[in-house]
Amino acid sequence: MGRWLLLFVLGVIAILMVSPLILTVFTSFKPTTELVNPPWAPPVSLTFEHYVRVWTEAGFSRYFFNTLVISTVDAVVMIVIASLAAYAMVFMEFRGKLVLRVLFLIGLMIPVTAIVLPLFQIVRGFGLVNAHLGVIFADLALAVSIFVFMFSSYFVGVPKELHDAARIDGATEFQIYRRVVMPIATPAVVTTALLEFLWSWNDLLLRLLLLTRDEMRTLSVGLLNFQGTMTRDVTGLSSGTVIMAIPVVALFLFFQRHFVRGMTAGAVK
Amino acid sequence: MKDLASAGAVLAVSLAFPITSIAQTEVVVWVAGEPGQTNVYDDLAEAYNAQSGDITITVVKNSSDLFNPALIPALSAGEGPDLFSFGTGPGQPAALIGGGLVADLTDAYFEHNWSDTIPEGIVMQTSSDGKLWAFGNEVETTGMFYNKAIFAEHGISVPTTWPEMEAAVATLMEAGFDTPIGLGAADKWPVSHWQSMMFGRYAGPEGIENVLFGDGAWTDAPFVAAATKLQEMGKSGWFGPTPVAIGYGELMDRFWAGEVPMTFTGPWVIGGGIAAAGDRVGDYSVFAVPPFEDDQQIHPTNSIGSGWYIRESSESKDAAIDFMNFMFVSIEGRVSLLNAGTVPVGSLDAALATAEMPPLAVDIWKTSDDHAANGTVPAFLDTITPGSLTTVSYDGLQALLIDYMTPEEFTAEMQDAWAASKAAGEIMLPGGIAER
Amino acid sequence: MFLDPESRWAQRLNLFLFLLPALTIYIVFAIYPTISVVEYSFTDWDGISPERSFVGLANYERLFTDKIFWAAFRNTFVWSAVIIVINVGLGLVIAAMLARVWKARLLMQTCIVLPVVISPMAVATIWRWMYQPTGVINQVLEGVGLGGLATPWLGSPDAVLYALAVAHSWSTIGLSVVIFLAGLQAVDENLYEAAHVDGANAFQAFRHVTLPALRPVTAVVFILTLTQSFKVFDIVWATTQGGPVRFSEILSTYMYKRGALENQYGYGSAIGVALLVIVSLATVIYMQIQSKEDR
Repeated sequence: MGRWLLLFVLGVIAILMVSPLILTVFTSFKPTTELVNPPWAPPVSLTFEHYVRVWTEAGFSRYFFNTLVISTVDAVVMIVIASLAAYAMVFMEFRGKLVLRVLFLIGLMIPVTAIVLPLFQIVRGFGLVNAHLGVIFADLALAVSIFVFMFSSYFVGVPKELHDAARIDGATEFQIYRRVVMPIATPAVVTTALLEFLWSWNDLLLRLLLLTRDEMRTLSVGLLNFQGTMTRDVTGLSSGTVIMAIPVVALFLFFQRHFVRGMTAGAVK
Repeated sequence: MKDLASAGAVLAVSLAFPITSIAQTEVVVWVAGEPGQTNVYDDLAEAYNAQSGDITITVVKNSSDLFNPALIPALSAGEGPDLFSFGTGPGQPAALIGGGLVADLTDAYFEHNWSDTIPEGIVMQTSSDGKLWAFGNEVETTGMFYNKAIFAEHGISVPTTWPEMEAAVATLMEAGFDTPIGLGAADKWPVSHWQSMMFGRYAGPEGIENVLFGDGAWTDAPFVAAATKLQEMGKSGWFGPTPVAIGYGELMDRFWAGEVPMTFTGPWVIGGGIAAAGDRVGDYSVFAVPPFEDDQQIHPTNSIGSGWYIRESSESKDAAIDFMNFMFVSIEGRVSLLNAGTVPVGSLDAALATAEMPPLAVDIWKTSDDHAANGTVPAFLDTITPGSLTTVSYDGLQALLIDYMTPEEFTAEMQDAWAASKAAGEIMLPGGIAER
Repeated sequence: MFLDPESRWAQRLNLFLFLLPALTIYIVFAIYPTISVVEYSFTDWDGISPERSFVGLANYERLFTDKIFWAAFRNTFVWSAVIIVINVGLGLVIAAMLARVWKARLLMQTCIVLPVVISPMAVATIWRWMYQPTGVINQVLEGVGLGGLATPWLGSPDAVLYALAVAHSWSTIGLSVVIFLAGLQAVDENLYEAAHVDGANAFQAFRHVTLPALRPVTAVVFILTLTQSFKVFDIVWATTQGGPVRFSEILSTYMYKRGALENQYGYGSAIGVALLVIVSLATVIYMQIQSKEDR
């Protein structure tokens, strides 16, 4: 009896959580003239016109490619730099570790909205405005803290003996990192890849600021083009949202198991 | 593996270097506007590029109010567009001009006889210290959009006096329309368009100019009266039970679906309306809001949507000016703009002959032309007043509607912000350019 | 290798190479701009003009007397508190329920996590539309006989901040649930059995076994939620821009209005610095409480 109640409550929660998304999918298939009544009803006459329009006219095909490049590079590089730094923080002894930890902690607190102006000037100083690399550096910098902590919390759980044994066998630090520590940390790697990919995929402000040429822009900025100050294109927004969500949803479904394990292994122990 | 490495190298190179144009002279143009409305600039650029030999126009469309955060850092770093649209004076561009970021267009004004096209009133708003800073284009107006089918069904004819207006609203409320006039006040528009229109009606063109360019104050009696009237209309349920809970876009959905009979807005909604109302778009038309008080006249609301500026550090100023001439002065450009429902400044006779404006656009401009002799007032006070005043206005209008503020407090806050901006030198000096 | 791997120099070099990539990018593109903002907060810069002058603490003095700042400050706390209650509290409950369910678990888990992938812009659009007075939410409430709860969400000074917090939580709670689930999977089954033998019911087992075992995980979720919610900008900006009036104004939207829209970049920077300090303080205080309890 209690188990069925549990299932029922969870089912209701799941439906509540997913229904706004279903409504969005409905809207994306509705002809614009059918939008209003009633808003929660499935489309009467199905149309794919908005998807075609968004993908071609609104430039989503190009934005899609740009977004994919930036997010993939972000995710891959983030795994490398965050895990290297975390390795040093956990397995190496040095003075100023606490200072470094606090420095990284600050990164969690920085409100991006506040620093856009000086950030633009720095990226411009490197000649990287309107280059994907400029956005990538900014993305990495503003999220690296979280992933250093995530990897650290994972590495803390790696038995110290494992590290020391490899050391005695004459392995260099890099070899230990590559062959001993990283293979155990697969869940953390998957988690970092997914989260960084997702955040990079959805970020708007940095892209709006640093990529001002249409051929360099990303999906998030493309989506903004359906939202005017005074009017908005609901069907365009909805189909754009769906297009934008599909790859990330696919990734999540694919890696779901690893992801669940990766978030906290170290913290749980 | 080697292939992968070289592919990686290529990728790295393409990531590292911004795209550099191979074109001889490139003019990067940033336009901001409503979804779909800015497509005309793509067409104009394409037409221009086809005929000009060594100049390439690149249009970047921006949307929504996140335009400024992209523009300001770029401009202040000496980057950004060669040509861009932005708010006009007296309030908005003072910082850009003061910072030396935008080019002086006075020479171009005389060289290309822009005086034949740009009316004097617009030159006033786009100049200071005897210099012209922007080509003010895209005249906008506002009017009461209404659903003819609903009016006919309930035997309502277009109101021309305030008692008729009151009667029309009463009839609609009795007929079960909970929102006779849509206001969408969760957003800053169209409620601030009401503010501009009502301030203009109560104070008249001179009254508005006296505040903008003279020593009038927003606390003057006509503005308090206008704010009081707006609040009263809200309290009587003209805008529905909770106008501040409804967004502009959501309101327009309901308007085009026939759930809301009237809304006060402008030509920029027409494109969306044609898409949303489909075959029924012929059910809609526009009328001028009747005078609120006995001794009042109808003053059409006219504003330039924005001004077009050239970046001071741009290396293709002449090309940018040439493109502006193509868009705003040549018949071809003016006809393209008109066909897209955007009205360029200046006399329309030559352009109108070949243009095919949407019927609703013709309707709204007719309401404006019918009363032009009474003198026009700004349609958007918020595009010509400084940011600190507009935020106070937007907040204050919502405060009036939820009865959180009195009309006197509202106008007092406006005046405080205005006086502070004036004192800080953020207001352009009275406009106009020196004769040559 | 020329260097003996045990030598101090080799260790130094290793340390340097491991930390260099992350640290360089981080300092150049995150820390340096932040320091610049601190510097701007002592000036009267408008964000545009090439000139700016040092005004000392004037911007910070202004903060103390700025009523709107304090209103936004209060709103930010309420906003964060609501989101923490939902994401940490409800997130834990949902995860605990998921962990005990035997049917359709992956499907339900997916439904709950899915909103995490939606971009903030789209989240804002969807919820804004659902919150309209005649929108889906009020229609559903009336449909199930709870019409009394129907409210003009975005226009109500009392409801708006909570309504937006719910929208934000909707799009972020999935992450908390996932983290808690990971933690739950690692809880020793024997503890539950021991509790069962002692005659504890499900709630008591949750209280005395699950909660203590999850404390480190809870800390992760708490800090993540706290720091992220304090910084939120897009969802509030794209729904109400802080309105009606100032009832949903939070520090980030207020900073944006002053800094970007009103050309008071110096003052906007001071608000940004205040935001940074406040969220840091909140985090430190939480960590202090945590470590005290640990002792």
